[in-house]
Amino acid sequence: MIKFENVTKKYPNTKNSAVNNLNLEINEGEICMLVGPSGCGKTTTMKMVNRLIEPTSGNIYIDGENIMAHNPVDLRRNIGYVIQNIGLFPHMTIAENIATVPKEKKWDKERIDKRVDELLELMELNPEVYRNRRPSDLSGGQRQRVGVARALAADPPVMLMDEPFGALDPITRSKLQNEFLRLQEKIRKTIIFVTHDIDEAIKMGDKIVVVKNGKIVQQGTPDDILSNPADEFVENLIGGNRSIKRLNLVTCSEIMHDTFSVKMDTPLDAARTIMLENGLKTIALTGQNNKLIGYAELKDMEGKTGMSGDYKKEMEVTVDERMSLNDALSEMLRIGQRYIYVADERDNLRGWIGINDILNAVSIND
Amino acid sequence: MTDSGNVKKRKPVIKAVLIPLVLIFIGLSYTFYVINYPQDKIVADFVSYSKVFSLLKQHIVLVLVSATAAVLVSVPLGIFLTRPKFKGLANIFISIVNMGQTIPSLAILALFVSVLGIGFKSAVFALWIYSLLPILNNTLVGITGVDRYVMEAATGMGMNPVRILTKIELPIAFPVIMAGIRTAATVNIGTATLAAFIGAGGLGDLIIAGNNINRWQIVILGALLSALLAILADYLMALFEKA
Ligand SMILES: Nc1ncnc2c1ncn2[C@@H]1O[C@H](COP(=O)(O)OP(=O)(O)OP(=O)(O)O)[C@@H](O)[C@H]1O
Ligand SMILES: [Mg+2]
Repeated sequence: MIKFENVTKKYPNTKNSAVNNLNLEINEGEICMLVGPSGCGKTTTMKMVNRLIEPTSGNIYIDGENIMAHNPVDLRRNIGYVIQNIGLFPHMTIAENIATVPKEKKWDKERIDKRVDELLELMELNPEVYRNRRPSDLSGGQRQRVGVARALAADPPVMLMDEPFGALDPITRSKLQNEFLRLQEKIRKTIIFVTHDIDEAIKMGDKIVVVKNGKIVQQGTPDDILSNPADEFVENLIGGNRSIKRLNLVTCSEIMHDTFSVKMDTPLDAARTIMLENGLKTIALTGQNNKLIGYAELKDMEGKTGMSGDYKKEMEVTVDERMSLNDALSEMLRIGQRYIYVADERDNLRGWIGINDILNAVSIND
Repeated sequence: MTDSGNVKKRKPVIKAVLIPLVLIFIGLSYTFYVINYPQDKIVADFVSYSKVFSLLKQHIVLVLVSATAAVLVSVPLGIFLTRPKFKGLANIFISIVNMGQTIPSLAILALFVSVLGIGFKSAVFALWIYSLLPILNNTLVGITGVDRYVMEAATGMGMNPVRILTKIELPIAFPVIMAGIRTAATVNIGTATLAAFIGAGGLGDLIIAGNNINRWQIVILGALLSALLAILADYLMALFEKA
């Protein structure tokens, strides 16, 4: 989908090339993470794709076509662009910001309005509330979301994202990363994503390209990079605790156990039978739509009658099944439990994970 | 909800009309006072409503013509100098412009009299030159001050240079450009009193004549009216800027 062929960029009056004979292929629907220390040429590499920077030599192809064959303005309208510093237009409303490319493409107003609302919803910003606000009225995380929405507006097949979550606090960053991964499952864009955070690269990437001084040091899947770092530089970049980093590679759905649940108004007898038959000490309690509202323990039910709900213990926290084991582990530590329930996108209870499962998952692979 | 919204909207409108009315009232009252209670016969013979109003009109025309011409030249020039092709030129111009600002207005007037002779034309020309500088300066500062990441985002999303100028640069720079125009116009209203020295009329006539015949009522009339005019002009432009 995107192909770099011997691409070199040397800025005037500099000694070394910012990007040095780069060869890289990125497949359709793939997130390619460019990772490396500050000044290694990540942004330069990315900006050559939408011709904000012209290569000194070499060629770049999108879908087999040389990008130099296009007029830069047309090229850019079909490439979503999220810049390192967001760059929202301060004098425009959120809706106007998001509508930028559709307006350039001369969509009619009705279609633009519909698209803006759709994107705001996708980014979990209520259109009624945020449509007419200005960027200065938003938090950093909300601005980043608008930046992403703006880049997605005209549904470009290719996205360039330069440290989109770089300036956020760790919690917001992790939340936006998860949201974005979920979104990417639906939209399947071909993405070049720049970061200097190896953990972000491991978490988000289908492919990781490690760059140093304008050259590719190693490329491969996150698993490749973690298990076979090419040299000391990559090893240092990954840092210690490779198995802990592995936690980012496995999702909850991959290792969760099935869970048994009963409704609040299920008679105690029935619940107890299920538990005894399956050798369970606890059972999940769910409300409408199979949403977790708590759990009950066998020891509390011994010799009692009534409804299962009468013995409810509070437990509302679940992790999304598509979140990584890292997220599950931090949730467990946060709530101080040795296990955690897993739910799907609509909060339906799907299973559970114990702390031992997490340990096993990362040690087997090592 | 809608009621309170209406009330909130109406209040600024009342204020917007009230302040100009007060300014006009003060001007009219003082004119009325001088004409009806002159300190002596000389003052009585000198001032009349028609004379004051025609001088006021002259003054306004002087300022309006020169300021409009200055906007028409400075804003496009500022835009031109900030295009990427002329990168660097803008900064050189800002320094030149700042130096120009330090030349005294009387010196400029004198210069033009020697070229264009005495009268309206010279005065307009001098005022025009004098207004060019703050407007050009603010246009340059306003446009070069647009956040470079905003510019990069606009370019990167495929806006062409004309659209970037009209949709991004000018709207963001607008308050700064307007501030330049306001400064130019208000300073001009004061400076225009000097036009009387080269026979171009305006409220300066009252000040100079009043001074020559040593009648304070007339001097104050000229000074007060031009001051009120400056405040009124600034106020109206601020109003326009917000709208
Ligand atoms: N316009 C420019 N002119 C000259 N040198 C430049 C220019 N832009 C970048 N460079 C240099 O090129 C090198 C690569 O810069 P680049 O912005 O691509 O790095 P980066 O990997 O994105 O860094 P960061 O993580 O800090 O954003 C750096 O040494 C930088 O100083
Ligand atoms: Mg960068």
